[in-house]
Amino acid sequence: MNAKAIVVTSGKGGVGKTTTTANVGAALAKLGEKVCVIDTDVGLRNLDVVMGLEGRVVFDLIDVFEGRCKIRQAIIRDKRVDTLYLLAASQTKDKSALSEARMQDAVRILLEEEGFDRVVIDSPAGIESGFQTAASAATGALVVVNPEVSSVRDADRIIGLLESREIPEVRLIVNRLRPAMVRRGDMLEVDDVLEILGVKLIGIVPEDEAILVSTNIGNPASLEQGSSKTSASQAFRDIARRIRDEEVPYLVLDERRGFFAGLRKLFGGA
Amino acid sequence: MFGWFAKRRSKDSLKERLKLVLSYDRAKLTPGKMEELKVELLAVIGKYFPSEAADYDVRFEQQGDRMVLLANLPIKDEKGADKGPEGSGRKSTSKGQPPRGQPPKR
Repeated sequence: MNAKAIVVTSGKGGVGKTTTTANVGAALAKLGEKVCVIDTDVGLRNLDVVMGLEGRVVFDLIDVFEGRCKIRQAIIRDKRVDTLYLLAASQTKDKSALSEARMQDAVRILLEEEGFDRVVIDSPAGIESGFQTAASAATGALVVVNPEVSSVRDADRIIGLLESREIPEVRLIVNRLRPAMVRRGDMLEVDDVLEILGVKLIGIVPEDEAILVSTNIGNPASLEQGSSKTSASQAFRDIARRIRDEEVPYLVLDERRGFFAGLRKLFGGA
Repeated sequence: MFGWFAKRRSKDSLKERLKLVLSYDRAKLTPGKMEELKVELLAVIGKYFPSEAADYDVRFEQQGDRMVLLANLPIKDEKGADKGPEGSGRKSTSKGQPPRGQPPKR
C-alpha cells in the first residue's frame, strides 16, 4: 500500500478494530518502520490498554487538537519496540472536540515533521463524526469484517463511505474466521465475503484464544515469537508485510489441513 | 451425523439474504418502495401487454461494479398461452422493450 496514513474501520463494534490496529501497528514497527498508532475513539479509549501503555498516558488527542501540548509531547513510545508510538484518545472530553482539519494537521505533522513512516488510525465504531474524523486524514483503509451478517452489512456501508471520500486504497481483513464452521457450511468463506463486498483482500485472521490472552497482559500478539503458522498473530504479521507490498501467501485453512497436520504429527513426532 | 449433506448449509441462506439486503441498501430503496415500483411498472406495461402480476419479477442484480434493475416481464401471446418467465429470450429490461425478433402482438 502506498498509503502512509491508514484508517482501521468496520462500522460495527466489537469486530476487532483495536486489536487489528495494535497488532498491525506493532508488526509494522517490528519490520523497521517508525509507526504511530492513533486512537480516535474519544470517550471510549482502549488502544492504550490493549497495547499495555495505559499507565503512561499524559496528554491525549484532544489536548493536541486544543493546543494544550505539542504532538511530540503526547505520543508515547512503546516499551518493546522503540519505533512504535501511541497517541491516545481522550477518555473524558466529548466528541465535539473532534475536527477533520485538526486530524489532518496532526497526521501531516507526524509524517512530515516527526519522521514517521506510517500512521495507523483506529476508528470508533459507527458512521458518525468519530469515524469521519478518523477517515479524513487517511489515504488507505483496512476494513475489518467478521464473516457474520451484521458485520458484513456494516462493512458494505463503511466501504461506500470510504469510496465517497475517495480513499484510494481500501483493503479487507476477514477477522475471527473459524475454519471448522466454514468446513461445515455454517460460516461464510472468505471468497463469499469478497464476492459480496467487492474489495481487495489483505488478510485472513482466524479466531484465536491467544489474542484474548495477549490482550489480558497488554502485549500485542504479533510481537510474540514462536506462535504457530496458523495463529492470529502470524496473520497480523502477514498483513503488515502485505501493507509493505510484500507477496505473502495466505494461510490454507481447508478441509484436509487437519488431516495432514495429523499425519505429520504421527510420523514426524512432536 | 447422517443426512448432514441433506441439510441446507446455513451460510448459503446467509449469503442470499446479505446479497438481497445489500442491494436494497446500495440502491437506498426499501423493499416496500420496490413493491410500489413493481405495481406501477405492472400498470404501465399492462397498458401495452396483457400480463399477470404473479409472473413479474423485479429485482436488483450486481453486474460487476454496477447495480442493475432487472425486470422479467413475460408477455402473453394472442392465444393467451403463457410460456413462462424462462421462455426464449423474454428477459427484458425495466424499460419494457420487447425482446428482439419477437414484435409484441395485441
